[in-house]
Amino acid sequence: MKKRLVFSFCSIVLVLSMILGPLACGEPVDTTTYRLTAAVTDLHESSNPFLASGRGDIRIMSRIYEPLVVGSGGAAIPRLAESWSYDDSTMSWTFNLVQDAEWSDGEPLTAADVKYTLDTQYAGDYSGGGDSKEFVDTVTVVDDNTVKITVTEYASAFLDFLNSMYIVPKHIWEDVADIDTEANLAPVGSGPWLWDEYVPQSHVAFKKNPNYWGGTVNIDEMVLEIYGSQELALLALKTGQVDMVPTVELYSYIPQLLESTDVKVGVDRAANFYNFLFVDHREEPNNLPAFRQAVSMAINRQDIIDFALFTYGSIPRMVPLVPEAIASEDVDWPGLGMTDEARIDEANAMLDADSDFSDFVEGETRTYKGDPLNIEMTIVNRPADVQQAEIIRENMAEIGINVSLKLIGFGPMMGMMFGGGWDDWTWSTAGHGAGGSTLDGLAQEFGADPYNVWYDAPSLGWGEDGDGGGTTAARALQADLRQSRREDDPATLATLIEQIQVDFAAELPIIPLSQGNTIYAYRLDTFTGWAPQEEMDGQGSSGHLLGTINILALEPIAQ
Amino acid sequence: MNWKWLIRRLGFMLMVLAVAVILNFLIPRLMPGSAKQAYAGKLPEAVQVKIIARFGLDKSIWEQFVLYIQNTLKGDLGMSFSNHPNSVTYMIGNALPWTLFLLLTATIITVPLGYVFGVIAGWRAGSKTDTGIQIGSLSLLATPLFWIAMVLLYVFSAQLGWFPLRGAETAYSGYTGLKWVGDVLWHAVLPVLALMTLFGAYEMIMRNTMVTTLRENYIITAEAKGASENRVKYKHAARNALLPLITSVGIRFATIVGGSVFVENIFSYPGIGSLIFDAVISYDFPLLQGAFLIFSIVTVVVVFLLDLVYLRLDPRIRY
Amino acid sequence: MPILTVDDLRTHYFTEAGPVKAVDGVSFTLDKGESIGIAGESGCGKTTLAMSLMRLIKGGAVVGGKIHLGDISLLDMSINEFRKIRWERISLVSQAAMGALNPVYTVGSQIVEAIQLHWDMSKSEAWERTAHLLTLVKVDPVRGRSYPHELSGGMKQRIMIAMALACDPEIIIADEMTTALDVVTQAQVLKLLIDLQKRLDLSLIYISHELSVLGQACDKMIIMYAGKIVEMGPTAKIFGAPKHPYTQKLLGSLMDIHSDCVIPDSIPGKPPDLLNPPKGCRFWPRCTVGQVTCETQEPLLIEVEPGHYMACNCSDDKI
Repeated sequence: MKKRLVFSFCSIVLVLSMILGPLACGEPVDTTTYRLTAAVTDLHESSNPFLASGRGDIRIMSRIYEPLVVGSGGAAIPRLAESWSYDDSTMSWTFNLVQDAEWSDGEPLTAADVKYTLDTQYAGDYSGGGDSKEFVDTVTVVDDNTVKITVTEYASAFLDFLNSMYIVPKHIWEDVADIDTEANLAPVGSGPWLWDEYVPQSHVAFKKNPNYWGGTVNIDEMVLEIYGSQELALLALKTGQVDMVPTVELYSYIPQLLESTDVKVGVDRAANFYNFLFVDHREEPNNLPAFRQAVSMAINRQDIIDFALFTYGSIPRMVPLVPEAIASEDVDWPGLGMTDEARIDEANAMLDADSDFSDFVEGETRTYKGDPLNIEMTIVNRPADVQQAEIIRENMAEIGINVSLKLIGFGPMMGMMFGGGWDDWTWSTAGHGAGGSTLDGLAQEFGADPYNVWYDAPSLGWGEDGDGGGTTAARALQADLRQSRREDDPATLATLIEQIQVDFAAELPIIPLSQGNTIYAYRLDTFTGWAPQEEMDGQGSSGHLLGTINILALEPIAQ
Repeated sequence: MNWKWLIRRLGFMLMVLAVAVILNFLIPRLMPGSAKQAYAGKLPEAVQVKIIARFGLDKSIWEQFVLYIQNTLKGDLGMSFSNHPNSVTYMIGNALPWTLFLLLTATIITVPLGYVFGVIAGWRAGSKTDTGIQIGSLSLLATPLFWIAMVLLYVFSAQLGWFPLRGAETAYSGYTGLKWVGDVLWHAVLPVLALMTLFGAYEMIMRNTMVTTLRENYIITAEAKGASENRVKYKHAARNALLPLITSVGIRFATIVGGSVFVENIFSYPGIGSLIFDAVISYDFPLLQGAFLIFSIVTVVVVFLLDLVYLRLDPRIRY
Repeated sequence: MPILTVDDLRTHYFTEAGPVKAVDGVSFTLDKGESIGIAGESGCGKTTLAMSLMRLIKGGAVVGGKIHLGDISLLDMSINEFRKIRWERISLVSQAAMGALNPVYTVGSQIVEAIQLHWDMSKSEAWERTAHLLTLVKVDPVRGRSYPHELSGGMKQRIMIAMALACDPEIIIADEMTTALDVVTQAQVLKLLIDLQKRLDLSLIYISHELSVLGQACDKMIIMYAGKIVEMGPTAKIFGAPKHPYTQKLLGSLMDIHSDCVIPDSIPGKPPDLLNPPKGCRFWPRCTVGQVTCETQEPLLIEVEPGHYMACNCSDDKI
């Protein structure tokens, strides 16, 4: 009978798949090939270095392409540029390229490639040029190995701005008909890895660049596997299916990871990040400083540290935008020493004082000018972010504000914040180069002006018109700060710094929530020679374990 | 072959597709905000200009429609926001084979299983076997698909380690031939099992039609002829009860397509379902639309193929 | 020696309220070449009787009595053995119009199936025989390739008859064979059956609620009421001089087209509930001549004249 045949066939297929599958996968692919496998949860979106913007993209682009320098808090780690200098009189940076760098197709890497890349980035307004574009006047090729960048204004964070400026081969890209639609599925780069295979939604595989100018890569191939969730990625690490998880976002899983003696969890001090609550200043009552103060007062930051970051974080400074070393000690959190009840009472009192707000009634939503305070909070759909948002939602309920959550991806969140297309409240981590050490580094080199500090804050979306321009007062303050550096007047600068803090505390344009750390995890039984903590620090947000210093240090353990 | 019937069915199928295509055109234009926003909103400005030109988003609605139809017929479904500069067609082209593989495997295994269990249960309606099978089917029907998928993943992949945690194949394995087939099947076992919960629906349909079919006179004739129990059960009763099952497979196919969104996401399976999930998270309208269009096409084609099967199985069809 | 002997046959259906005594102590014999008609209102047990003979009772069972085919006891053999008896020795013609033919197979293949179930014949031989059988019932053999829905009611009924003849049976049970046919077709089919019965020397049990049909077709008549035989005898006797009040009423309800137009009498009341049948005479509640004793005293089937049996406490012969 035909039906029986079909049925038997299907059962055989099912049974075969259960037997054949594990058999086929049980044996190692090739005993002589060493493969490094990393579990990532960010999808790779674009292989075009001009268009790459998501975290997944940057992570992959920085394996293939390299910037001139890797900025690290005013100091910088050399990459394609082995040395550099700034000449104040001509207002120009001179970068000397490494001698023997070459592209993976064998062509030499020259200053012409650097000029081409910068010019193209700035002309097309691509994201890699975003930070530095404002300062750059012209890029000139001095000789094959020297490139000069003339700036319109000195910025101490200029080297940091070049972090994501991936130098591309001119001889390839000048033939590309349309950069905006180029998928670049066979990239030619200068980094330690050669792009080998990309299966959308599954993985990106690299082979080592045997002729890497920077040193010998001891690993034959590397695969970044895309996992559906952090939990699965960490489980894969724990069970030995992958060698590393470059970014651990599910803090609650860390104790389980540590159960295995073969797994090491590291905290990257260089990649501290701040979590802020961004409010849309175009909307009432977000535009009222007193309202923002009350919201800030009601937030239980200790709960966020304990229950959302699982103690992998700390309460941020009142004005995290000012480097710790130069910050004034006098300005601190209102409500820092108060009990939870007292803080909530204080926050309620602040709102009750304004007659536009209805008085607080337990369990009810307040109104502002007759409209109930129902606020939609947009958050990134990552576990820790959601947990933080839940705590804030509970806190808000205690002062009569009804918060609902809307989850979106990281990429769209960045798009919304910088594009001004957001409403009500947006909450996210601000990874905008504002790593703690970056600011601390600036402070150490005190000659550097804190322009960077102010440069960042307005661009994160607050401002009178909500388009990220910053307040008029802030702009004036920026001008003053720049002036103070030129006049070499530390006393005035110190006063201004204090003024920034006082202004910030009064205005609270964005509300700091917590300070987190980038956490990574790897296995000790497959590879050895993991670069020491200090050396891996500061390799940028593009994946410290995957960074070149660590990659060159790693040695496979023969199984 | 009944040609007249076939042509009518084909016409009907084309009409459904036309409606799907037109809806796909209308929905972004009916949404708050402009079609420009929906098609090009999240892209770099330079790219926006190109997209606007390509889809004529600054022209009249009729010109847009003509352009849209031309583009769709050429297979140009626009640019993905989240995967720019990859085209929607490229993304879907990569994902579709996996989804089809999952859905068809699950259907091909589930329908015969539902058939066999339905026949067994319906043959002795009211017996203990029947009650047992009904309890099983009902529980499966009542359990959410994503929950089953999560339990399967947790137990068999995470705890027991029998199956992989993610994906449709071992990443960058270099497997070829039989080895690759084995690898793909190994990865498909849990997602397919999760989708097989639809077994409950098929079994119940089969059982119930079986019960009514058994009351038919031709069953008495067959028994009176001296046919054995199995012959009466399968050749006469089940053969007739199969027809409503085939119809329900078509209807359920839409459900299973919806279920695949959850299942693929949970198993990190690189199919259309995962694409839809990511597109929703990243507000990627062109990709979302493209995925829906493809799902409509797949569903319509499957329903049409089932119609052909039905035509073979039921000689009474005269449209 | 009679070819079929039914002795005190009792068939009950099992319900939650208790057994329904659908056939309750029926005895009769059938000789070779003889035709018996069984008549009665709906629910009197005539179809149950037929099904009991074929051992096709669903939801109930034969709880007592004997059926002998020649000297084989049909009720004592296993169902697998009995399957060999079915159709080869006793076949069943039921209402083709009410779906006695399987709609998804060609009628020819259904006849071929019957042949091949019993006779060791190749497919082509079986088809040849099918063609022969179709000719026998005056149907063009090409019709064997048709599906039931493509044929008229009369044609289907002829094919049913052909199918019943497939294995040269000794007995044919015709159950409401012509009920759904129009009068002209009814007459044709009936004539065909009677001709064939005479020609092939078949024994026939003809079940119908239409007395006129039975009058034409049968040598002997059995009148059943509420699971029991109330009167049995040669057709001429039953029609000419019915003894039982029920038979009289039943015949009274026949319209004689030759006489003046008289609205036939109907029988007031309803047949009894067979869960709890009346203790005495089952017809007593509706009987016009009944006496008090009938309520408690069950009448026995007695031979009132040679070959003519009747069960009544108060008919003329008894009093």
